[in-house]
Amino acid sequence: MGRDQRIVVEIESLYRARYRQFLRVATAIVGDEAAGHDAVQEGFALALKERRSFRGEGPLEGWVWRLVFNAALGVRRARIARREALDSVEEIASRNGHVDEVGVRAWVAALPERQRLAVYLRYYADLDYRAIASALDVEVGTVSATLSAAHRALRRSLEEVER
Amino acid sequence: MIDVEPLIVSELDALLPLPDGGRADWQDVVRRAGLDRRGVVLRVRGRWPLGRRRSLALVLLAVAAIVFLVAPALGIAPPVLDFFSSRHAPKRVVHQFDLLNVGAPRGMSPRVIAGEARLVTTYHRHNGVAFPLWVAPTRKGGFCFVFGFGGGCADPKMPAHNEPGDFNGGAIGLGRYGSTVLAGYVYDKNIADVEVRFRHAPTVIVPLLWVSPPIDAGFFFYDVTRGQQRRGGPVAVVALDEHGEVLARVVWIFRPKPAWFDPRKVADLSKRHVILRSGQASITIAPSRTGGNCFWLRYRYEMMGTGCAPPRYQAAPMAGGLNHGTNFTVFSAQVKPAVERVELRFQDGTQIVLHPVEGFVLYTLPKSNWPRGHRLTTAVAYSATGKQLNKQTFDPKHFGTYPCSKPVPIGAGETACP
Repeated sequence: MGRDQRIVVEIESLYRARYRQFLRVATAIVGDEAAGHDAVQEGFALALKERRSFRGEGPLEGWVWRLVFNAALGVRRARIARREALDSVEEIASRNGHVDEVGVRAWVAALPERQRLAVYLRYYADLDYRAIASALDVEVGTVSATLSAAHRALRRSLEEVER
Repeated sequence: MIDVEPLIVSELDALLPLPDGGRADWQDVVRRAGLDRRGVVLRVRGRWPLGRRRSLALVLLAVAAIVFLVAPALGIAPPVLDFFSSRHAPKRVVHQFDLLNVGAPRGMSPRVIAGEARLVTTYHRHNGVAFPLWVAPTRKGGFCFVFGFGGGCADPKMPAHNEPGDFNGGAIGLGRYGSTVLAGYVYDKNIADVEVRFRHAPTVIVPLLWVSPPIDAGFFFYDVTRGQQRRGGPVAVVALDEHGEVLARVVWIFRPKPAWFDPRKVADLSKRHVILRSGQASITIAPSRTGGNCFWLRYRYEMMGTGCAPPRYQAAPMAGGLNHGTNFTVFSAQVKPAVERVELRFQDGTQIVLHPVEGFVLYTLPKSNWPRGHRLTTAVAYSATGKQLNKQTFDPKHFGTYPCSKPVPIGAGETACP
């Protein structure tokens, strides 16, 4: 079995082992599970199609996460463009400044996109900083700073409520 | 300052619990990628009308793709990795395989062909850490592997070993690496799937990567998530045939160790006391709450062994052996009450008699017993009436058991005392 086929096997292995985590993150981004599933399928299909472009410079999983993100963000953008009614955390994000629900979930939704993705990967996908860095295509230090900024923002929101 | 992390975790969990995997559909992914179930590239199929010769060439290409490239990955047949086309292991890995040969007790070398070690695949933990799996064939017809921070050897000719509670457990060579990684291999070609079952989480199907002869085995890997750990963790690894029939099941590896296993949990440390000293070796005991005594075997400050097995678990009248370090060799044994004395016999014909103290014997071998021709060969346990109750033999030619001034090369760049 050559490198190409080995990558196919590894992608399948990743899908079978981690489908639920991918679905969870994609659902958080897109807004509902059916669309999240669609994004995961599209992301993995793209990974199969573009497997030769994976150069092995980082973990395969990080590369697949990027493809699934992009698929999920693409679905979300298309939905927003169609002005579909979103009944998810993303809906709250789209109404930034008009938050009508107080709570961590609303504040997470209101975070900038990279911080939100980092939070999802950390807490929905159980990834460590190195894996998150690979998935977001940034340095590990950037992940640390991004999550710290997210924590700071959430802490500030919480303190304002408690005041 | 408020620690927001627990709040984030609980709120996000409440907002979107980990979904079940019921929607997972790999074949749908394959279809979306432009590859149908038969492994034909749809884009290629669309070009057939361009010309007969070209069509034929494309059909042949598609068939080749089925056979060599895509089909195995699509589940048409088990994916089989051609071992000899895999990448050779670098020198440092070859050395690790060499060590498996030289580190084994006499007569138990796996006879691994270290120079043939190759990279079978690289697994990834979900935190991104890579686990390369290196495999090399043995001259006995099995294989050895180096994986993560572990390794081992498999011999298909060895009779399968079943632990209590397992069903045909010997069919699954299962190892745990760290607290979360489960990895192993199977030989039986009837095994189509390997599942990891959890106490309170959905079952996960783990893909098998089959490797061609001379390895001729299927490998699997699974990294248990924190969520699955929180829900009680794994309870079984199960091998199934293509109809879903269970062919093998391993459960013992997931069973918590009994309380008596850990002296810290069951020993009454207030009653701990030294019962035997020999040279700089000592045995300390303390009563165990599960019956019998816990013991600690030390040489100076170095712990060489400990245990708390209740007396009913000691099957033989005498259970012991040789412990060694850079400058000592110690004989110790736990004996049943019926044992009145233990006789140690040496190559040069000398003998030593040890009398048990609270069920233990201990003897630090003096320097005069280190050279070949003077070493321990036998330990014999006798009752008060002189009846032989048990006998243990020791191989005096075994490397590394006795200290020496000039260690000799044993291969792989390693040395040991002859």
